[in-house]
Amino acid sequence: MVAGKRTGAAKGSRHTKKYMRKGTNVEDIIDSIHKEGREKATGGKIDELKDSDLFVVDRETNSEKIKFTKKQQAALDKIGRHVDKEMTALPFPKKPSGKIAKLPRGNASVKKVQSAKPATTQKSKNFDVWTADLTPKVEKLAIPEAAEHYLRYTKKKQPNAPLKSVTSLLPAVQIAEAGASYNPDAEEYMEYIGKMVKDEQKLIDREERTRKGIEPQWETIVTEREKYLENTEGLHMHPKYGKEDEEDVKKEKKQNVDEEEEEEGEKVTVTPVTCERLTKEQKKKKTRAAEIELDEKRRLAAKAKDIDSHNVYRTKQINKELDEEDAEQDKKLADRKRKKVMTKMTKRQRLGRGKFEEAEEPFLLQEELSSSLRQMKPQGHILDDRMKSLQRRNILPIGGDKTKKLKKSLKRKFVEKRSVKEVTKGSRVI
Amino acid sequence: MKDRFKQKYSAGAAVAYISRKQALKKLQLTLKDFRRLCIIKGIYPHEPAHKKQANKGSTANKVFYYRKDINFLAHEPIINKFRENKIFLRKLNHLKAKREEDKVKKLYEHKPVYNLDTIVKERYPTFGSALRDLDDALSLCFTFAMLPHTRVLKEGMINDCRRLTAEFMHYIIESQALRNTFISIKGIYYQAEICGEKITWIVPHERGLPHVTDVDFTVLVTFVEFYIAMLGFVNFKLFQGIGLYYPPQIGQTASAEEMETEDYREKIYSLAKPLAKNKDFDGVEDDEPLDLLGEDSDALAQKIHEAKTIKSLFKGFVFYLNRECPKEALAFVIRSCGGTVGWEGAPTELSESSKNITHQIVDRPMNKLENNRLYIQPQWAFDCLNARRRLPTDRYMPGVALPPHFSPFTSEKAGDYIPFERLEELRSMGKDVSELEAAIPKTADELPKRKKEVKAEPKKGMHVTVGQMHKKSKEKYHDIVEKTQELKMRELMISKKHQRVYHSMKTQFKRNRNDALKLKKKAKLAKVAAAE
Repeated sequence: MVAGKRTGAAKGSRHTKKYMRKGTNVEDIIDSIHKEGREKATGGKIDELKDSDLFVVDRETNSEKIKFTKKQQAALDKIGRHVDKEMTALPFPKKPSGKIAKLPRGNASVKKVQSAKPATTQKSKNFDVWTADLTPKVEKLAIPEAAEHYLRYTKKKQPNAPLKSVTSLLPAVQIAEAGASYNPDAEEYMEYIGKMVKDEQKLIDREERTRKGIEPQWETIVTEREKYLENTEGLHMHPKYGKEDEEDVKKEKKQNVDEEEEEEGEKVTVTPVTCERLTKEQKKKKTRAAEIELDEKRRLAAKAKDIDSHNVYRTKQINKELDEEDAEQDKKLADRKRKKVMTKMTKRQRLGRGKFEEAEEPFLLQEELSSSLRQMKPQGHILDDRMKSLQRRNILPIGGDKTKKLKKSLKRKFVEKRSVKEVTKGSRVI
Repeated sequence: MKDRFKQKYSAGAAVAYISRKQALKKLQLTLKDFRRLCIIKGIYPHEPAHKKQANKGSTANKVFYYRKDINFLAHEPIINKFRENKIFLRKLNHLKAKREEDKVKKLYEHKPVYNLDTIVKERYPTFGSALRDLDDALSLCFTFAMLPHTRVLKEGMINDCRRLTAEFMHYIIESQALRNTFISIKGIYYQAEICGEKITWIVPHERGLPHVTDVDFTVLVTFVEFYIAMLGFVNFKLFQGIGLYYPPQIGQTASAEEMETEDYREKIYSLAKPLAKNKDFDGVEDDEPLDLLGEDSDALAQKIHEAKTIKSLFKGFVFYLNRECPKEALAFVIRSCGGTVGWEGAPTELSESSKNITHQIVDRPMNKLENNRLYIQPQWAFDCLNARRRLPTDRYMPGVALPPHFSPFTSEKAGDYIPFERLEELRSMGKDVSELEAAIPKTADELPKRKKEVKAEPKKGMHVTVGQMHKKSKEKYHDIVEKTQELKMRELMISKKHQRVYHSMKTQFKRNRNDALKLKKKAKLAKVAAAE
């Protein structure tokens, strides 16, 4: 039977008994029975299923968000605010649009007292942080995604922290050497002090070197001032004139030398300008040399090609060599990487303008070493040590002075002198 | 279509890093607040590998942070507290200028404070990670506990440091976790083993710290502020782990009011009395794990053995500390090793004449000595702990020159110089020292010491000295110069053919001369050494 065509009893009214007996479409019924059976077999009757079983509730935000204007958004929010609310009573009457009289001050003060919380203290109560759950929660929202979103959006819950990077592998507390003991062994003490002496000697040597560099090496100069001092040696002098010591004389000397050097530096040397020009013979030679060179190149290329063609027979060996080379390179790369990480983890990074200066190790002189704990003189300051340690471990940046920039363009300033100003139109020039 | 023209500095190091100035602008904080925030949150600067790229072309030395870190910082609720604090200070200034005392008082009541609990947990997600970072915290807190309070160093902070460090020491005593000590001229180093972690810290000597000028206290105060919060939690967890009350109690019944009193606090800080333990707590006692491990040579077994010996090192001994001894350090060490300690005015109420005193620690010459006790200098207690045995007291008696105090932190290697006393100590600890002994270099060449120039003392009164002469430079005006110039000219005249030979000959001569000089010097040194 063609669907949609009604014949015989089916043509009549559907409420009659005749229709029930003859007019009903048996196939439809069979179909529906089949359908029901299939539904039952696959998971239950669709009519009886809940919405949530049938459909996926899409709680993810759309990637293409519809943009509302502020006004539209406000209107939507206003509607949305009351959607979930169950109304149990009539809404409160609306606020009168006019001004309301202020509450009396007394009442306000009472309210304030009621709402005043005890002073919040930073001292947290004693509890175990590592077992306590410190994540904030919202009770009202049943959907966890929504709760999460709410907490993140209102900044009650923070985003996941980025991975912590280790700044240094150095130990936090560097234990002093054995020689720094309050009652050290003689050898250990000497070793400890020896290092410091070496450093000190280096410093002295450097100073000496600079001093030597400044002073003239093979020459002694006697200034008028020195002659004068020699002549007046042993005589009592008025402090006003005779205050200057030998140091001042030395300083003068240095200055003199500096001036001399400057004068010397000003000399200008002139070098003659040269221009190369080749003779015919030279040109010929040059071209000949070029030809020979080219020939040689060609010969070598041909030879290399020849050798290459023979290489076909030793591919296996070449492959082996290449593999070995690769392995070696990989090893080198890994080594370099490891080394790089180690230097980064153990050396001081450049953080900020300042330069890191190692702290001077404290020490006691031999005569200061005491035989008992009571008489010992503590040296150095722990806080200084801690600060240096933090800087060494790349935790604190080191500040430095900013280099001052020279002003490149100066501001123009116009000044009209009084004498100029006085001259006006019609004034007489004398 | 792909972008053909990519903007410069829009990827890579230029984006991964952010300079401090930019970070300040992004977070809208002052430098001072930013520093505090970074320290509290544990965010440190980094040096970019490609500085020029990160700095957008400039090579100036700037402080760089990871951009990710700064983005994370932007969510920190403490920033708001900093802003509130700024407003608070402004208001305070205003009211103070107006001299409105009651309003100032009220304002102080509502001073914004922030809580560091969540940050502690965020920075140390596990208890173990907090323990690993304890070295810094302890060293700083122990030092701060001894400082006088100033405008930057608030009294509350110093008191907190004092309380927390005392609590921590109590824990070490009760768990007997102290392993090594070393008295250096800087301070006293301690090393303890807690939950398998080796924790080292330094405590300044009880002398009053000298004044420091080049230390930025505001930075350190911020560190300490965080460490106080962290130590509080760590202490709580540690105390709970061995069944102690937190806050610590001496008697079983102590009311909250009583515990607030100064006297009670001083009693706890003195370390002299044991803390009350929770009776409900049933701790896991590890009995004889040595048998299970079998071999004694096993490193773990040895460790356990050492811990056991330390526990019973001073068991049953009663120490009396004389007035001049460092009380805190000695009480800490002695009680960690199981001894009892007392001094004049200590809460243990041990008098000097008491009969049950076995040892008296003394650091000055004594006139009157009693028969039934041993007199020793303070170093004995420290050395005993390091040696893990009771050393003979005769070398530590008052007035006797003490043996050297060795560092327990140096490990001996073959080939190093090891002092005789140390070798003996190692031998007594049951270690094989034959190898070390054999490897000590036999003789040490002693370099001749440079003689000191004897400086003539300046004469006094009327006198005459030799004046300086004008001396012409030898180099400039001597005929040597002329000679060398002539030589150089002749060298220039040498034909190309012979030039190379000439130069190689010259260098050969020079080398030979240098070698000879060196050898001569060496011979001289050897001679001097032989003569000495």
